[in-house]
Amino acid sequence: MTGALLEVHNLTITFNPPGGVPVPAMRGLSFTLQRGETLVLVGESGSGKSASALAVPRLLPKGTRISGSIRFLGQELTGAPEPEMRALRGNRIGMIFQEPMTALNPLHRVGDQIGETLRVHRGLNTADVRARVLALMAEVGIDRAAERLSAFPHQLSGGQRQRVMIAAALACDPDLLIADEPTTALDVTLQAQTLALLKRLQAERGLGILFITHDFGVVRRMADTLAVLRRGECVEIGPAAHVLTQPQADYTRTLLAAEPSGRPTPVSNAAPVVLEGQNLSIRFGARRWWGGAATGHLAVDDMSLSLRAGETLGVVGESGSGKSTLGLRLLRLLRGGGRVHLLGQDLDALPRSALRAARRQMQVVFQDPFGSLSPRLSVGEIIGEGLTVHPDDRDPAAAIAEALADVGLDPAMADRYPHEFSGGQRQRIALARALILRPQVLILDEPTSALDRSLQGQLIDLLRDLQATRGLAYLFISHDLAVVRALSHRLIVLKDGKIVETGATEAVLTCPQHPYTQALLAAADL
Amino acid sequence: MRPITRRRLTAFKANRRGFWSLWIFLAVFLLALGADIIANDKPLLVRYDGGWYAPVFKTYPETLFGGDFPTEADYRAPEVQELIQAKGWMVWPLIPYRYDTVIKDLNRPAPVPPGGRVWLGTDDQARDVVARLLYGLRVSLLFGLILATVSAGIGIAAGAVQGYYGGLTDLLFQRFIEVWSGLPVLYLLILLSSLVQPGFWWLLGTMMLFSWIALVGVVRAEVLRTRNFDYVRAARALGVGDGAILRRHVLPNAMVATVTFLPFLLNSAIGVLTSLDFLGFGLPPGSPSLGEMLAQGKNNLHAPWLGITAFVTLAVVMILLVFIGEAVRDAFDPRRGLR
Repeated sequence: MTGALLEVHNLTITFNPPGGVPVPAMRGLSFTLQRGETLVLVGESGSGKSASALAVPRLLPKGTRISGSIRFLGQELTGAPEPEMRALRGNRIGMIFQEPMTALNPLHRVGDQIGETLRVHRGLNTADVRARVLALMAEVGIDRAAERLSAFPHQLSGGQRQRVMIAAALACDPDLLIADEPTTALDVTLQAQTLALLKRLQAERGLGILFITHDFGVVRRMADTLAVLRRGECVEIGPAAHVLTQPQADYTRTLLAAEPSGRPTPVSNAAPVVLEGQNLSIRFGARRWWGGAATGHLAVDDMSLSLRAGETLGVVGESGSGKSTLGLRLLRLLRGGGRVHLLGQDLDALPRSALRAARRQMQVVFQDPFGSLSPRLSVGEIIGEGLTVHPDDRDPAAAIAEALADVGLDPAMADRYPHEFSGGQRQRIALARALILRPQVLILDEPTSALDRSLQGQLIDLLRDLQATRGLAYLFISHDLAVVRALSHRLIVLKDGKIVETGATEAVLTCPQHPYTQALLAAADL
Repeated sequence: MRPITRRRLTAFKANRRGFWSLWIFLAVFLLALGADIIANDKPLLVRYDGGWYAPVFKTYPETLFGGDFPTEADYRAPEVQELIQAKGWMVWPLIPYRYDTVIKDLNRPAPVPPGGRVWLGTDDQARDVVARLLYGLRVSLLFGLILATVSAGIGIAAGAVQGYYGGLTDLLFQRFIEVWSGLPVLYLLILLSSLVQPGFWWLLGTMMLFSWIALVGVVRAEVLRTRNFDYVRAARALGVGDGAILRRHVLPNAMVATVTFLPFLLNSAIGVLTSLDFLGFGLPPGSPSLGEMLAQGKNNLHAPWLGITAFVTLAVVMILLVFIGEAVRDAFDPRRGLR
């Protein structure tokens, strides 16, 4: 055995879409991964990190050209015949994907999915597979394993699904584990647990892990070796401790320096309350049959909050805690119990036309920069839509140009289409659409969580500037405590549809009272 | 041109079979539309006594050419022909028969096999098969196009309302459609044909009552998906009205499913009209129709050119439409030609 588990030399990947122009995804990547080590590929979306990792088991789309050398356990993989590759996949090379809900087949039982590789590669009989699967499930920390064996993926929680994925990847005792953003879809507390689990398994089994992420928090916990990728090129590679403390490349430095910083400008107590919610509640799946009791799930349970002009109220909680539903309730895009007062008007009592007029005072920016812009409209049409509903004395073209300039984009971009823009730019376009009506309240539903750290920092600075100059009030929904800290004056912490803690941001973050807030803080590693 | 449109056009052209099918279909459609000029029992142009006449487009009395009757001139009658030839000349269409022209000067009993003046022979009433084919194709294609377009319109509207408003509206509408689609269309048409003489518009109207259902499910599903997109939410937060949201943001997505479906809808419409004509519940007797020609083929097994002609024509048209449909589907498939 010549030592190295995986040696990649001068890897170059080119996508050849049918009927399209070839797109280079990676040029000249070289690295070496030893047993028991973790190599992290870090980079923004589109940097080629996933393509590089998927090239090892050759899981890229048909027609993709791979050149260079990939040596796994001394065996050359580029140009290896397909049956040989098949014998490696799932057997010597395990894989974990980003989204456990889509990576698991919803129609198959969990036990069968974990045991599949055992049947395929080891040819074990049913009883042996069952015993092995139970042992694996115990190893990855799934309790009541015998019972869960016959569960379907949707019956498990997100964290359990990710554990199932890990168990399936490890079933054949592989030498190399490829983890493609395994924690991105998980909440912070689950992220910490999953990373700890991977570390433990690595120590026990001497696994080599090829880890892909864009999150430097994850990098710090996992990486032995770190490769920084950008636009299909390796910017910097070296021991993680070295790269993180003494980055050589400018790009690495900007990525590292991009941690959200700064604090919001204080707001006077005399500022008027612009948005107020009283005893809000939303029930999903409720159905009353012939006057029976309402059933279903309370997504928002008796929440009250208020927001002053120029103030930011952070809303923190894990997915499923009701943060986004609260936002939709405040926008009155969902009906429910309680009252919402916007600038003194009761939104639920307003007739349709008055409600439509009131909407110009409260706008929203959503999380997904790709889903929030209609792909068929030009940027100018998207931003100008608000003006078609609420016309004022401004010239639409001038107003659109002004809104684009406000968010730091070139007004000449109005004629282009959303797909021509990066995630950060698209989020600015969404912000321009909200700002063109000059609202007083902005509901920001995780506007930064789909962005890379460097872009997050820029967006936060922009939001803070806009607040200072216009006296905007923000309701800032996020699960990222670092971002919330940089932007919010006050904070409410949600769990299972209830407010568990509320107070000034610094007070809550430095001395949390509720055990759930404490757990969140511990996991967030601020 | 928007980039997405250009990409789709490229993808459509990349499917050579579908691309050529479209051109061939358009050519066939044009031929059928021009049936009056290609096959007619009136001359295209008459030069008579220093004047120009176009009998295909305008009606002239026989007296104009020096005949005896004030009714429209019968240009096929030897007497009228002699009158005109004496003081001028006339240009006949490629096929000098209309769909209902009974050819009297044939030297054998109808149906006459292909050859000579009658390229594909005649049917059992001594009418030219090519002429009947052209006119029949025109009726079929127009019927199909109108039916497909109008029922697509109704289907999109119904699907959009169901998907966008959801809840009780959706529930009631869906139950209604289930009941409605359970009605036996064929029996209804048979009943209808015993009450009135069903013409083109009667048939179209009756078919329309049911054919719109085909698209509702697809559009509804697409709208249900789209209405939860963040850009639709953002538009609602802007205060944009429901109608404008549907038109600007939701329906363009549903159009993909619709356009993909359209060639197949057209195909089934043509098929339905043909089968009704074949069974004798379709267009009034004497009308040119592919179904009627198939029926004649069945009744005159000793004249195989009737059945073969109708069959080949129908098969070719439907295959062309399926090929076009496949190419359109490819063009709109987001998984192709991306990146």
